[in-house]
Amino acid sequence: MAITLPTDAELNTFILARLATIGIDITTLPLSDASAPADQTRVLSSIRSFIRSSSPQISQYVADVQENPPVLYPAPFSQWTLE
Amino acid sequence: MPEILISSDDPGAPPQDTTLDRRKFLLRFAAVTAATSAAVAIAPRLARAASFSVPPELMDPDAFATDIHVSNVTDLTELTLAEAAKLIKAKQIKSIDLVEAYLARIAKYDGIYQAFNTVLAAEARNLANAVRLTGNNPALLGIPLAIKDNYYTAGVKTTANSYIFQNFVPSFDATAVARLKAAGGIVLGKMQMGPLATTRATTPDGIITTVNAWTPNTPSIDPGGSSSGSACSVAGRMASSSIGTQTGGSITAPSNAQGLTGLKPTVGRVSLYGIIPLTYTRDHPGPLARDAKDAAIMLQAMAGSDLNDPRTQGLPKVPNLIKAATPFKKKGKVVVRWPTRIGVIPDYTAGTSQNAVARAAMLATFASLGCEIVDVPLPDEWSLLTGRFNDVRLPERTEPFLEYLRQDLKLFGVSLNSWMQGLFLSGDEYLKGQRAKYILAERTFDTIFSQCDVVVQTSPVPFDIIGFPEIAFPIGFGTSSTQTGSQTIPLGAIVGGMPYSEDRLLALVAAYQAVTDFHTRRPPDPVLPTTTVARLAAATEMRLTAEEAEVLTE
Repeated sequence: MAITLPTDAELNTFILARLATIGIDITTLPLSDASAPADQTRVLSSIRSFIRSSSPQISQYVADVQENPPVLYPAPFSQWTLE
Repeated sequence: MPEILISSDDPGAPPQDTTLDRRKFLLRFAAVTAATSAAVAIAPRLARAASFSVPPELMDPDAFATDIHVSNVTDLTELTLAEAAKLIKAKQIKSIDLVEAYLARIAKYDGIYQAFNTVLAAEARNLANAVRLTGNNPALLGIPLAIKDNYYTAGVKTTANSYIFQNFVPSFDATAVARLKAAGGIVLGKMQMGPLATTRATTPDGIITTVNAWTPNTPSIDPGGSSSGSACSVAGRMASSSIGTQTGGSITAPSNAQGLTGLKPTVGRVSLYGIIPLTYTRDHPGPLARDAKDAAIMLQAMAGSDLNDPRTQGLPKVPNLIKAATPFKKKGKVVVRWPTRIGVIPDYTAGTSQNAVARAAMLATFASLGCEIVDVPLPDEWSLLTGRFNDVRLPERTEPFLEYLRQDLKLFGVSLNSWMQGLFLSGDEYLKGQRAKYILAERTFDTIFSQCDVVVQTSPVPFDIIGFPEIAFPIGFGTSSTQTGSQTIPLGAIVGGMPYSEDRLLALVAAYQAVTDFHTRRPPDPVLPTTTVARLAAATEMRLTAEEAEVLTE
């Protein structure tokens, strides 16, 4: 069965629930104000776009778990692992 | 019941855990505990008192210019760091002369450049007047320096151009700053930057501040990334040299945009302790300087192991970078110091653009210096690993700032979007990103560095992701067309190397700069507004939107 992609409204619900869970109140921003540095509408739009574009590509990437350890610092790691 | 065997053999060497340094770990743990209980979690208390010795290379004759005499100098602000060091050592000028010359330019032109957040005039004068020569002084003694405003400076406001830190006054210096000061450097001021090191320099709500020193009366021309205040101070001759940070091009981009030599060292070469973080695993502190020799002097002073930053430990010793950056001759002819194969990625010189022409000429110059030029392919999945996977940096900026996100989103001004996006990558996706970093590094070694020693770059991002070093330097001039006409701008190149190859990168650029003069040209002075109308026009605000900041963010 094909998975139905979330709508804007569903993503907004997800985003606001996540923010509320960790104690972030988006209503401290104006609802919609193009002259403000940031507003709720634009922040939600930005996050929706990020979720739709980034998560699918990254989560679907297959890395060889045995051959490719997760490494925070590849450059120093290349020295730390010299024998 | 099984028989229990009891050995009467010699127990052998003590177990390996007895060789671990518990004391070092416990001291660090205590410091971190203190820091996390502090009101400002991003501002750790000093883990241990900073006390740094001066690297002996800073006293070597190579650290001082050889062919300079004060009688040939009409303007002290034109001097490179190595030239000024020579004249101070030879008692032909005093540090205070240099400080006063820079302060005069700051007073005259910084209203246009807008490169400084804070000018420490009185402090700099006091330090300069206190300089005493002993005969064996480091090259940095009495040299005025510009410090990006995300480096902690004891007793001096450190804002990162953010509302969050607008009143933050650290009680200690970042390790890199402490090392520069220990070597005699004088902090002349704190520099404008992109808010929290994201975009070109703006106020927290996006109003453009620092301009490109080559086009000071045209703010629309990009001065480079977030270290643009540092770059402008050197290009605009308001400081001898400067330091910045790079997470996504913020040393190399402003260096290229403003005709400077910028060196982004390998991760761990310079301590990040006492620097306000942007993306913890890929922030790189480094110099933006007038040429390779000046960059080497700065990095020699800044680099080295730091007990307050474990990433700096267990790494190769810092080599003599200053010697590496001294042009090398064979039979009277300048050649590259070490045999070097330069890898050229596909399409690097394709087309007829001014950049393509300058790049081709640069490669021809390197060939004449004895370098071998080789074509190299890009590793598999290069676009994916350096493009989409670049997003995995975002949770790292969100995590240390979570308290501020809870407090008031408006504190993030125009930069808010990328901090919010960082909350929406899952833990497994973040971990996948760290595997991707390993894959990218491995393929870079296998595909690129199996065929060459250094490689040209068209973007700093790939090597920022994996923490490999890069050097940026000027290779010509072009034009930029704006509504006010065509303007001359510097053109630059970026060359990357394997981890801890800063000496090779400096040697390469030093040889190039020994036979070219792009790095010696200085931008003309800004036109000062003389009428009310002109002053009003100059004061017209340009502003980045949140959407532009999101695209431009490092």
